[in-house]
Amino acid sequence: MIRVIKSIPYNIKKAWKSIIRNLGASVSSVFAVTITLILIMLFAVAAFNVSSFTKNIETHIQVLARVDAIVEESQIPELEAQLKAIDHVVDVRYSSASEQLDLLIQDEKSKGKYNSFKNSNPLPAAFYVDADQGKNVANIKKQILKIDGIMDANYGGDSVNTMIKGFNSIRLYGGVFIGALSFLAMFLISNTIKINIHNRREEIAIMRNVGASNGFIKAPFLFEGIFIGIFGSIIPILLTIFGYGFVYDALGGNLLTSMFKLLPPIPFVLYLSGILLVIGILVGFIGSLLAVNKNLKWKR
Amino acid sequence: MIDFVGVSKTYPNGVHAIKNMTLHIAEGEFVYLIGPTGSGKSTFIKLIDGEEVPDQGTVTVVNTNVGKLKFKKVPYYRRNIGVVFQDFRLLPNLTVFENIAFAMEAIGENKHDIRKRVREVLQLVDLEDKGRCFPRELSGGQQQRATIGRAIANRPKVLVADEPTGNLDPEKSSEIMRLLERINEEEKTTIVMVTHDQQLVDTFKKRTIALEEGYIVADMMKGGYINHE
Repeated sequence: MIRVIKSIPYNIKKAWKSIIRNLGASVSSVFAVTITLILIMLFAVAAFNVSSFTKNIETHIQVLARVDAIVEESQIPELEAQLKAIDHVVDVRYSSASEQLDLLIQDEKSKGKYNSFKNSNPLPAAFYVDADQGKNVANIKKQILKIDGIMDANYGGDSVNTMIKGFNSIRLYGGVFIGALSFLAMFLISNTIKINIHNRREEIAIMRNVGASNGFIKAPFLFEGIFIGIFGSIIPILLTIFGYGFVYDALGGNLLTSMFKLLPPIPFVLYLSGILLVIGILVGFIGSLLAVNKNLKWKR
Repeated sequence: MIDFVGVSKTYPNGVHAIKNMTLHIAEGEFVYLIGPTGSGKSTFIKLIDGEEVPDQGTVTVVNTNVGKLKFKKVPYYRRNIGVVFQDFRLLPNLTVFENIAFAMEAIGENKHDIRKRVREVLQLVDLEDKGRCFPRELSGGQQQRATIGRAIANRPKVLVADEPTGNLDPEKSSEIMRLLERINEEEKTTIVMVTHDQQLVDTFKKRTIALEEGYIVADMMKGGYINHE
């Protein structure tokens, strides 16, 4: 273990020299990692925010169950009990007919045109029914409609479902795309290391002759891959830290409406930077490991 | 130091390189290995440095049964064996000092020990003033001395020199021979030298083992070249 730690400066020196000696291929590998990580960063920003939006939307999905006009005030507690008994319902709140009209009047878009209905309110009373998860809302609506005394039940319905499905698709296809890009970057790094191994074949032959262990021969190449990964992650990390903060401030913390609240930059950008660095290192390490295992095999 | 007992080696292509060979080379000996191309000299060296394993018999070098050596242990075993090639094989982008130091770096020696030993070696191979030179700035003889320096840097117990004078003129060849004799005496290194140089073998008389078609055809303690042609 001590020997491994002691050999780190040697390996760093060797890896650095190798990167400089083969600058063209090294820079192209770094560039590939940079592009991959920028795309990963963009997808991650989208995915984490969409996930946050989805949770936000899901927690605010309510079914509005409107009560039949024939239902007496005294029957309300019984209706409320029936609603509460439905599976996945976490909360039920009663809103009287006058409260419903007040809400309509207070809505900015109505611009006072419903004020005249105050004396003869045509609106029914309603219940706000909260679901535990967005996916259960449709079923809850069906159950509500079976209850006598309920006129109709509504929620954002299909539009909300479509939005959630859309967000999930972005997450899935984005993930697949990122995976493919990571493989491409690994392949490029693997190729760079392969060229470096080829360039240093005489050196490697002498190392074998004088009794260098296979691990000792392989280590600088693995360090080189890790370096390429680290260098490749610098620009994406800077873009994350400064770019996300800038966009967040420019949009005032919301995307289009206050329903889509963006994740606050701190600690989000720090976590994301850490993730990008780890992915960069892993891509570099795995890429070089593939090249080393294939091209530094030693048999007798 | 080096023991071959009933050793045979046949390659997958059917070539019988070594046939039922038995020989003993004692610690501190200086031995010539002579023979025409295809006589088994290269295989002999490969068996010593662990690159090949015998099909039959046992090869024991520095108390290690080379044939039974676990694959992962081969690098550590090789630290006992120094190899000098005819074509030098110095790294062109490293100075003489760095070339010699490289052999020690490759086995993880510390910087202080490397610096000390490289200075010692440069003195031994008479290249003290050439440490900062690159191989291209040296003559053939000097390059071979640097190669020998690299081969002995890790204080191997056995030095195998594969035609070390093959690319040199007679004067430079004698220089290399005197250096190898010095290493043999001062460092107590056992030396096995493959050569075709009849004049050298006759001038610097040592034990001479002659191979032909994988067999030992002569083993003369007092030396002298045998012409096979």
